[in-house]
Amino acid sequence: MRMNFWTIAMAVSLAGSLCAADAPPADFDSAVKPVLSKTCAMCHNEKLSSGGLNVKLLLSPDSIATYRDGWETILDKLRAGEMPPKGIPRPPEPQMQALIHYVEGEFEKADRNIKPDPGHVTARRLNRSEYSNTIHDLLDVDFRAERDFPTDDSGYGFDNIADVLTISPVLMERYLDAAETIASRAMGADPLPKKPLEVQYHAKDKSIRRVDLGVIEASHRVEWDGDYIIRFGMPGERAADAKPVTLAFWIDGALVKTMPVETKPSKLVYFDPYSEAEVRMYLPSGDHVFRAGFIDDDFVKTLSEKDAYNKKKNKFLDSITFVGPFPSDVERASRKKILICDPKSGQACVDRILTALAHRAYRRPATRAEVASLAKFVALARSRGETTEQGVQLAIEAMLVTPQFLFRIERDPNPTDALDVHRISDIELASRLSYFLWSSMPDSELQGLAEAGKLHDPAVLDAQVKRMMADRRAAAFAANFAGQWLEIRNLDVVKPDPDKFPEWGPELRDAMKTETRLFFEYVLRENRPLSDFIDAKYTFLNARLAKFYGIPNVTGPDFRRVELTTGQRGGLLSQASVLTVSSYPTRTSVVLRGKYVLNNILGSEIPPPPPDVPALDESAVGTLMSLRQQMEKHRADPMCASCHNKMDPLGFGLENYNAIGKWRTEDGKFPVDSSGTLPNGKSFKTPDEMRALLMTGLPQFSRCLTEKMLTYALGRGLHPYDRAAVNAINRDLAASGYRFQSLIFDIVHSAPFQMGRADAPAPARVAGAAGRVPAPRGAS
Amino acid sequence: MITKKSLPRRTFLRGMGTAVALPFLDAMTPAFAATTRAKPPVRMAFVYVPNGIIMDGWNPDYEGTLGALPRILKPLEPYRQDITLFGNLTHNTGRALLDGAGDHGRCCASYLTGVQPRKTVIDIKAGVSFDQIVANQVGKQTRFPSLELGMEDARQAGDCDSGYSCAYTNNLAWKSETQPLPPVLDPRALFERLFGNGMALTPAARARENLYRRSILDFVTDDTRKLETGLGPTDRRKLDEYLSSIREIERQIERAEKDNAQIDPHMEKPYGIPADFAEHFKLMADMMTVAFQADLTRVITFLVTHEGTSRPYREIDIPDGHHPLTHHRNQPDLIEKVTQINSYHVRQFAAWIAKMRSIPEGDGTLLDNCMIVYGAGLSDGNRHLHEDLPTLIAGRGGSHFKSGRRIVYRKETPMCNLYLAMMDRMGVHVEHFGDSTGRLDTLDLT
Amino acid sequence: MQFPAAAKPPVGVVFDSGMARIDDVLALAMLHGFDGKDQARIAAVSISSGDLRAAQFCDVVNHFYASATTGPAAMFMHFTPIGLADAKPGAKPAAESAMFAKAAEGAAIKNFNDTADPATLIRNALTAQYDQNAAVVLSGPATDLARLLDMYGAKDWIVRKVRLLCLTETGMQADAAAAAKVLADWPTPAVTVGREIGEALPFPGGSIARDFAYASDHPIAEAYRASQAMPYDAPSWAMAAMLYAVHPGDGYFKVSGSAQRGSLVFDREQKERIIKAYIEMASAKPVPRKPRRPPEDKDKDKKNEKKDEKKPDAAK
Repeated sequence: MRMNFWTIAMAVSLAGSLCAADAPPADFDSAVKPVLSKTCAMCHNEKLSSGGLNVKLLLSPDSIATYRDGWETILDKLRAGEMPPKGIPRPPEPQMQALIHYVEGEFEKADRNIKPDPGHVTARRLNRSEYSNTIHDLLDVDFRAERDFPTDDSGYGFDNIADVLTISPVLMERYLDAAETIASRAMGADPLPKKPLEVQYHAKDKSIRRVDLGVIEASHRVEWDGDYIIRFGMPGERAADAKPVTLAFWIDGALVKTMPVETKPSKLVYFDPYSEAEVRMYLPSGDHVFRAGFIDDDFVKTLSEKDAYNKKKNKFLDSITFVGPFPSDVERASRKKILICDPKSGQACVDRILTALAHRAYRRPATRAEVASLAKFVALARSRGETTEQGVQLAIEAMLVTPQFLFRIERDPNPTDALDVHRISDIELASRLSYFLWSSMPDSELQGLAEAGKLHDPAVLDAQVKRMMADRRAAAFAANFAGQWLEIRNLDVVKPDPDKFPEWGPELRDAMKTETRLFFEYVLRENRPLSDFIDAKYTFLNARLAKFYGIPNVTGPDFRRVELTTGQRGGLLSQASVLTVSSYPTRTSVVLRGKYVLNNILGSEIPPPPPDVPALDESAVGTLMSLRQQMEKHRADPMCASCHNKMDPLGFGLENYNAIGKWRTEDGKFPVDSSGTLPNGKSFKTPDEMRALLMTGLPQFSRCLTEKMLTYALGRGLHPYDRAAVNAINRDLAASGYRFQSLIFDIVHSAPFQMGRADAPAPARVAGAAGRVPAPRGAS
Repeated sequence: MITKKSLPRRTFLRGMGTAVALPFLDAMTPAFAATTRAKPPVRMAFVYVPNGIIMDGWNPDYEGTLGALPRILKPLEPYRQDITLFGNLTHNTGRALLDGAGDHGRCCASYLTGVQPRKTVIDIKAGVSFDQIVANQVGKQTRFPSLELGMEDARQAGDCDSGYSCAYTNNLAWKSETQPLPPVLDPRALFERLFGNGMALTPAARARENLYRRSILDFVTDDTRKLETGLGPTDRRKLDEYLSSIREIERQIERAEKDNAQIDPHMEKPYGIPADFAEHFKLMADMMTVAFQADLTRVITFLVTHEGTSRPYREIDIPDGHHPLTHHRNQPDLIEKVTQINSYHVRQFAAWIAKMRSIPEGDGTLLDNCMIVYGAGLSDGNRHLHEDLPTLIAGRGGSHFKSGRRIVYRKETPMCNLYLAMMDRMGVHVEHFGDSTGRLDTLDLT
Repeated sequence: MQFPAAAKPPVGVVFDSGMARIDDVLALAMLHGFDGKDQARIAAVSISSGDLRAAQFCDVVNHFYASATTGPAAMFMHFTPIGLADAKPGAKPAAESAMFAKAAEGAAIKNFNDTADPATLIRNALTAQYDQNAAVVLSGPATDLARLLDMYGAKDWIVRKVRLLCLTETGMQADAAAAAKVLADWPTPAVTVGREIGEALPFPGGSIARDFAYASDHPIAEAYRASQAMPYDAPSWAMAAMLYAVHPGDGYFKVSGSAQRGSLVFDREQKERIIKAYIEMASAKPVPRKPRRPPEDKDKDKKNEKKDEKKPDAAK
């Protein structure tokens, strides 16, 4: 709802800023009234008040202020050409334009007199990925909160929204247990077993899963951080002239190792041909999914399911064995990080250690009192005859459950006065930056600049943002922002029907994820224009995905940039990941996809159908009648038409892609017809043409993306008072040619990002410059 | 999986936090063995299934003593004398009441709270759920005031239902009107919560653990107090949430220290979340059984899957999503599929009931002393109806009431009237709850 | 985005009656007429006697007026239950009035539990009305409304939702205690329809043959014929109450007395107009229904705040 009203708000002011000036000096009675009372009043009158609108209330100039939200909706519909609807005589275009310009102008005037309100960000609990990343950057300990903590609730489509991140007793228990585990792991207090253990997952006892022809998977809990030997058992052999294959090894979907493997008979003579490959590597403790498989193995595809596991006809994987742990130096890094001096040397050192730790854990210098109370834990341990190290470990455990660590709390110099709009401290700014771009704590450089009071200096700030975007930690931005904006995270939740889509499998799923991730990261890193998201002529593929897309000459498991030469693919809306999460398990849905495009690309939300409106019978599609016939039938009902005219065409434009994003020209026994006409009358015949049309809506897309990214960056929903800031960002963005990095810089420069106010209802605000950040206190 | 014996992990320094003291004993010593004279307490559980139920397959065409049961309830037929079936119970607060679409979000959030939830994705607000009102009182006597279980992970992105926060569909129990209690989904996590990580702890080690946990809790408590000064209302609300969770844990430790019940769950520690639905359900059911049997808790809510879930059921060859199917527009083939999903759920539930009644307790069975409600927040999922909600109770609430019957009430009879009656059985006396208009009276014996 | 001020639907009417007089039946018909013409919405229909036949009749009437609705809307057509007072144990079962002889067959209501407790039904109906956008029409004993007043939290809903109670003097005394309670405790303005009004404005029996002929088995017409030997005119207490409740501002009646407690004043000038309205509404043809979606509220949060203050949630 708000978002929607948002888009409109900006449409208005943005357009306003451009046209209001040159618009002829019109007045309400000549520019607005006639259209309202002649055209609109036919339906939007007291009796019908269609859509809950009765124009009687709008016949006075001041209604533009009193019913701003409503007026914005109206403008939106007029501009989009949705109103007046077919069948109602449309007033001459100049008259419509005059009306639009006039109202836009009025909004402009109004907005010029709004003093910026940066809003207040509630104390924000670290969510699961922020917790994991922070632990990693703080202590070099790999901890997977995603596995151990309950799911964070999300609002506005993101799971970092302060207001919905609650703490339950269950979560608190988890925090305590996690703190204990992490502290002991960080101190290397986990004793390894005296001799290594062996755990085997084998086809014969069904403890491995065959996820794909020649690909096996096992879920295994690694109990200790340490080195392990991982063995792959491969019975059988192929023909004497068989080519070697590449054995690939994945951990939790990430490819970690590939090695060549011979498949032709070994010269050795035995009845039961069998060979092994092995790797030795460090494994972080926790539940992991391990997968091994032959990749680009053409031979196996020539075999029947039965022969594929016939030792005489094929060589294949049937077991994974873990041997370990062996002592590893990897883990000890954390000890070095913590023990900056020898704790046995006395209290001074203990204090130094705790001061340094608390400083980083709390993301601000720790007070003497704080250190003192942490030091009590060392004393407590010592009093019970334990070592100082154990004491430090206990102190860390305590540190990790303090609100200072678990929450990001910003302080207002004037907690009771919501009018006291102020710049947030450099230290708070540093955390906002790092959790925005890294989903983690600031590193020492960023923290250092903040504590030196330099960070708010525009040059310094921009340099940091640039550095951070280039840093590997920025991967968290793609994973968390893009993953939620584009709903890619749901790839792990959706369950396409394996019978209808035999190609679907973990490998393909991960390839889809990787494509979108790499694509997003590329657009960010190379500062490409936002238009690339809509219609880039390139993407990132490996052999598996290229084959799925029917794109030749891409070999091997590794992803690389691939130019797109046909109209079949281009931009996000042609990526299998997006097309899969916007489908049902068994079939595509023009409604779901239309809604997806509207919500995530065009940023206009569709009201949900009332419960008593019959849903479209999409299940009959492809069998009883074509999807289009179905939809026509559906839209014949005016009840449905109002929204579906908006959604469906966008969905149809993607009908050439099946429910897992594979190109198709037929659906069931009917040819795919992917043409459509948007409410504004513009029409297209192919996905490519639709993308071209969407390109003309670039400003709308950039507004949509701005809203979503600002929401994510602030960890709160947008409010009317954010209007000025969002407008400013968009003007700048347009001026920059819609470069992606400019968007990030603009957000960082924006008032809501750099400023704050006390947590109290925002009072009416007096005149002042909109959206600009005033000079910082004490800075020239 | 073949594992060679290993040393126990981290032989010291394992927080007992909430864990039940182990090592395992060979002989099970439930808190209320058939031999003990103590009157077993009454426990209650809620098993919630989403997207409504095909009512033709649920409602018998008769009232009174239960005989042959309709198709969806068939799996429960052998245990029908332990079951009470209710007709016409209604949740008016699940209806639109001017809030427009979003029945899935609403019916789940109002199910145990009896309050119409605020339509928002941000400042969520419903009410204290009645299981928590019970937990606040009877919970003092058990290690866990209540347990919240679930089987489906929350959607990771996108919106949940028509402008209703996902919090409304991800949770069943509400500790306060703004704080839902997230269910535990992973059998392993639940196991560790109930029984510890399977590790022996010497009394000394345990004492040490408690001492340290307590000192940490004390430390963060007054730390937070200091922090709170100079913060605005919403910030402070967050920290208060934090503090109340801390206090909850402190209570758990106290309770853990008091009773030294040593419990052998008689099951292997689960690995994680099984892919197979029935397997997952069974693991959760087994642990609920032990939790009741050993009196670890007396209140459980179990959110089987989420309202609006599109989970397919390949286990029974149904590849389509559950929710899309329920909008069947009266098409026989779709209705058939939904019916199969409904009865599949009941089959899992029946297996649990069978187990509960196989365990002797006092002079009856464990089931006798429970009230296990199986129900949904919608009746007709196609039209999103909130009346005649499919509702049954397994067990006799401590031989409090006569089961084996179907009782049909007046239309519009508030579900909350049933809750009041149940609270009575739990020994929690409340005059009004949610939109109750009185208490269901015809439950009692005779 | 909506304009709540403008989006308020027509008044929601709660009709509680004894269904003992043909007058009640005609008032019910009027209510359906208003609903079909979007001048009112049926919020709840309840019966203050234990007469199951009467409930079955109301059910049949519901289906009669729904009969014109086809297509998707029909599939999703869904009826609010009929309220029927609980025949107290001991009390002799209410006489099943002859008017509804034919009703029993064809009614979805088969037994007592297919009906709702009137007080609960009305309470729930009120929760779904816009603030100050509901009217209650009472004809016959005030038993149900008295119970409603006693129901926990119900008064809050009445104050918030109901703008007017319109009740008929006649028939009220059947339950004197309840009558006294309602007249004393009802928290909103209330207007009484005196005996003389109903008698001064008889519904012309001739209209039955003329205006109800469009349906061969018009349940209203059947009831009319069954209730008394034809031809006869029917006094119109309930109808007057219904008309005023829906159109208080349209000058059909004047009101004397205080703002809180008034009574209708018969105005000879208006007689023709009133009778005309009676006939037009009571004999209105069934019209196809569109499923209705409540307008989204512009400032939902404000609205909820209000709700939170006034709504009795959670346990006490």
